[in-house]
Amino acid sequence: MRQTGFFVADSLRGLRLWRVWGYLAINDLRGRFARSMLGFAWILVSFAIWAAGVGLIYARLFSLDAKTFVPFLTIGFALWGFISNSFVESSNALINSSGYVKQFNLPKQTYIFRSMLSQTITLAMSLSVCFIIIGLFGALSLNGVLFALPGILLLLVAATLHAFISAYITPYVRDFPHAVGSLLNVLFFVTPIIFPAEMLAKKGLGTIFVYNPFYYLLEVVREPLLQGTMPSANIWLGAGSYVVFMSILVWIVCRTLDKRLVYAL
Amino acid sequence: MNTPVIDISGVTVDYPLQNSLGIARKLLGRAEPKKKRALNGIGFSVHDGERVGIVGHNGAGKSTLLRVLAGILPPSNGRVAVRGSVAPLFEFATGFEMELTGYENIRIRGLLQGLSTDQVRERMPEIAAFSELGEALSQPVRTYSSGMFIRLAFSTATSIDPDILLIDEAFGAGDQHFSVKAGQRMRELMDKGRVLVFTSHNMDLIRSLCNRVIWLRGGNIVEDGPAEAVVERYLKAESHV
Repeated sequence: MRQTGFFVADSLRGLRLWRVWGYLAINDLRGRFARSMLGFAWILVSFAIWAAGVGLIYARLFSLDAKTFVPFLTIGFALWGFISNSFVESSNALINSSGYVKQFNLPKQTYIFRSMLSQTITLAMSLSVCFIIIGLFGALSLNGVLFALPGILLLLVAATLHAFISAYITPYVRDFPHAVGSLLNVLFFVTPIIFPAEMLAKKGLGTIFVYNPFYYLLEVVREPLLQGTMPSANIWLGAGSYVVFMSILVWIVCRTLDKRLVYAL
Repeated sequence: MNTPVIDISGVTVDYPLQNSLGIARKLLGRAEPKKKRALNGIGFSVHDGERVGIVGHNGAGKSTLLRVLAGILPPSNGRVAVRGSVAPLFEFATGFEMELTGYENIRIRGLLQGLSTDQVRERMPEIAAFSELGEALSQPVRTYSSGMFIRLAFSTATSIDPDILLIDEAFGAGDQHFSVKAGQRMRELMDKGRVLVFTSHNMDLIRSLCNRVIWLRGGNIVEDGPAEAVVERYLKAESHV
């Protein structure tokens, strides 16, 4: 019988239990919207309302062309929400599942995948709102969607790595999600989400995104969807090195914390 | 004798007493955190067909021992070897999805115990029938009483036909009818040569279900032997006030 505390083997074993985390994740979403009339669809509706409102107001406020600005802002916001949740929401992945962790002999990574899947479904729904918005403004191309797929994949890997770090550290340091959350609130403003990168560069604020890994993660998905082009090697390099760095960090941190984690829950 | 189903030696478990930040500091090599020793280097082996009762005071290490056997708590020291499929039946306060129905919770628990989706579907009627929860299975489990949680959990756990059944104080809230039924199911499993490790403060239950008793005190084994004899000495030693 399986003994706990072998991080890499357990992670792979957990991944293979997709039926378990798949079922749990879908029920998590169902549970979140239980007894509401729209249910699941609230993810779509609330994001669409937000996008329409804020997009149009900001476009007016900054006197930007709504046609390019609204799609830009919505995609940026959808992706940022996903990145930010991969830290903040995932921080509770193991704590919320502690009832299972303490009762059943399953790799605890299963519960991180559970949390990641419900976040990914949320992302898929907000991205479909983005597709509609880009479509309405007339710039959605098949090429763009295809070119965005590898970027989305890389983003999923990065988010899963965030989730591991956050889910493993939080049981020990309960301040972690709050600290990261406030940091992310600041990072939001120095990541080209509201203001296009070119605008920041023109104002001499280029450095604040050049060293910001999230800029690259956003761009590998956003550029193809908005412009229908493949991002430059430079962007891919930035995003890729960040993922490699995070993988090493996860391997070091989580391997160390894995064995005695159940005692911290 | 054939290879034991459970074989542990020198098992020590220390619970960290400090808050989690203290543990984090320890990981950074700052300071040794305070610990509470729950098991103190104990060892024993269990063979096919043995029904082991664990007795002892509150805090003697009974639940910790079961969690070590289930592979859930890694011991700080010692060796644990367990062969075969394990069905753990531990606490009943957690590990349910309150908004979901009884059926959905059975499905989740089945999956968590290693059943496939098809196996769960196949066994569902039998699990539902054994639990005798009937209509209530279509209701969200937040409407359940504690006895109903036990019915649900026990029915699911024993449906996998485990090699080893680990039960921690399962019958506290079960009613008379279900306790008798559960006892019967456990005897059936034992007749198939399975192993039971069982903690309880109910000595009648221990005597009727177990043929061997391990008496724990402060994380050490006081005595390990035939049920009747150990229970008798345990009662004599622990009953004076």
